Amino acid sequence: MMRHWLGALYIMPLTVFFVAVMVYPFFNMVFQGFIPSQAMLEAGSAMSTADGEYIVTWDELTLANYLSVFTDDHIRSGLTLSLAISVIVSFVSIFLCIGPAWLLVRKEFPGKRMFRAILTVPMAFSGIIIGFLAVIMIGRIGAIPLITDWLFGIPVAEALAYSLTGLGIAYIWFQIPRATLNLESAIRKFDWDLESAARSLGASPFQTVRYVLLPLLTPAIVSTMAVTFAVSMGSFGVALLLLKKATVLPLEIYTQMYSTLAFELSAALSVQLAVVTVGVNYFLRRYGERHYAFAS
Amino acid sequence: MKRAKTISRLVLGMLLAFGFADVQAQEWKEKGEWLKKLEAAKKAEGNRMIQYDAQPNYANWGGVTLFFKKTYGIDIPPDMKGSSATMAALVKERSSTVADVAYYNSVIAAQAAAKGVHQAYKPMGWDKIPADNKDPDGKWFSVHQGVIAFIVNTDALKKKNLAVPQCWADLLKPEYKGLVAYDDPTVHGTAWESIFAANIALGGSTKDVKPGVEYLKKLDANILRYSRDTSYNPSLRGEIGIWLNADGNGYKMKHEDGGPIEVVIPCEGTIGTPLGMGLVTWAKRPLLAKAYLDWLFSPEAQGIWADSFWQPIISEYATESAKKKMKPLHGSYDKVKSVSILEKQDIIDPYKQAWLKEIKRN
Repeated sequence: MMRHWLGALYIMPLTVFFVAVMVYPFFNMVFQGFIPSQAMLEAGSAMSTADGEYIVTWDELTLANYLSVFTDDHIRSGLTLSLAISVIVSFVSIFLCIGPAWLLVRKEFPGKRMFRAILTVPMAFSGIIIGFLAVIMIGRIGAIPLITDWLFGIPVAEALAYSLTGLGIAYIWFQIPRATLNLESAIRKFDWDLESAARSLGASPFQTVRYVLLPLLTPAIVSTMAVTFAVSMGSFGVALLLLKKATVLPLEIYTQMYSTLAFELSAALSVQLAVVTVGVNYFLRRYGERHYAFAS
Repeated sequence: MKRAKTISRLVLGMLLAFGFADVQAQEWKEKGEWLKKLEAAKKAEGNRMIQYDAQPNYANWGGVTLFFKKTYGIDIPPDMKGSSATMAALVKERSSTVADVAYYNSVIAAQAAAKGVHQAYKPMGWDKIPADNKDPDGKWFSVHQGVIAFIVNTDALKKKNLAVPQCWADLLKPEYKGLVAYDDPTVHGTAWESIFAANIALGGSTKDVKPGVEYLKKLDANILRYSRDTSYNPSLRGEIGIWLNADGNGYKMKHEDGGPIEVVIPCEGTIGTPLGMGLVTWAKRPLLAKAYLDWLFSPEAQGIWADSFWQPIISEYATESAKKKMKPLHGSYDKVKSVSILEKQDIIDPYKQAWLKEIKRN
């Protein structure tokens, strides 16, 4: 009995924290999303009191905010771009990072510790700083166009930062350390004897990769993608600094809140962003665990 | 002791760098009375207060707040919201806000006042503020003004062998592609004034924004981006070649930051852009806030703005030395057309919406 009690006491802080910063605000936001947004209020019925506080009755609640992701082309384009860039960036960063992660586990080389430490640098930067670095490197007068102009007379990647390609490059840049370190810790847990066993039992290098290494790696890849996808979906600073006209969902939430004053719409979009991100994450992890449970 | 001296020297050096060390601590008639008020406020509310939208590089707020801290011991930290974002924050936060005073474009200050986020207060020197730049009850008031101009980085243009543009029409030329920028007018009040200046200059009015919208649609091809943060530093560096913004920011880049910057008043005309403030309804430090607002209309604060190339709203505090430096490369201040804040108030939201629909989301 005593031990149970202690256990409950031990998880208390986290439970309180979870309820206070996740559960309550989330449900509050879900509810806010049903309130007609201020822009609508001002256009239509006058529900505001003298001092500007809004009083909303039950029958005035609306689905319009939640539906705007379908009805409003601009908002839909934000969700589409968010999803597209998050998926592409997740795949590309896995592709780029699996080799280095492998090296970090299997090989010793001078400066390895330093390399790993440097890798964490982009993780410590906020999106706005990363956007700023992108402007410094591939902006209109970025380092790369200036140097190539000086060397060859042709500015390469001039103002690339402000295009979708530039946005993708900036995203990949801040996903590389996350992907590498995630993959590294997953690969570290491998049972390397399986690889040796396959080889000594006569499997060809191709067969070893196809039937042993790939299934072993898949859960690591899936769990890493879950992380990079979630971080990309939530990223907002990079897009804030780089995009001219296109939008991503987190940026749209900010815009609706601060320039259109449509707080309720931004609440609804936030809920949708959270649901999509958590949903994709949940299914990725379940897929990883179900299909390749033996590997980890 | 020695360390304290070094620090005070450093602060002095910074003051010099901000370029207002030549501002004599001006005496004014009510100063004694005001100092008593300030001391009482400090005793009751401490030595720190919050201003929403106090961007160090905009209208020399960095210099103004540093002077206030150095001379009177009250700290006002920088805050990077734009006008519309400031109004949004106050409307949303209401009684839980940390802000004591707010700064915006005057048109948006008046809108914010109408949304009930300001309380009435008439700062010292109230009678000297022109009637069209204040609410009769004191729910908002302009503190200074600028003129919408082209802020041109001449190095950036020289690298491409381009001439400095003189007219709104020049900006449409294809050779300026990717060189022109104005900030997001749904976030920044000055950016809204910039696009409204184009509308007025090209034949539009407070009832008709079609000339403006048509022009901006064409200009879109040459725009680098619609920044939501300030473009001051990118313009100074030359990332942006031509920034549509208030003249004072350009003169500060030129004379104080030593940048390759010229200011152009477009040949078709432009408009003035007054900026104003209000005392927040739910201010937690109302006494400090009132003392601060009083001070902002003193010859001291108005003089700092004058010396950093913003026209003080009380025009008698303008300084000759600064006026001499406020010379556009092309164009003349005779081209400034007058549009009242009241008239702008009716058109600001429809024009923002038109911009969103026809340019940003198109």
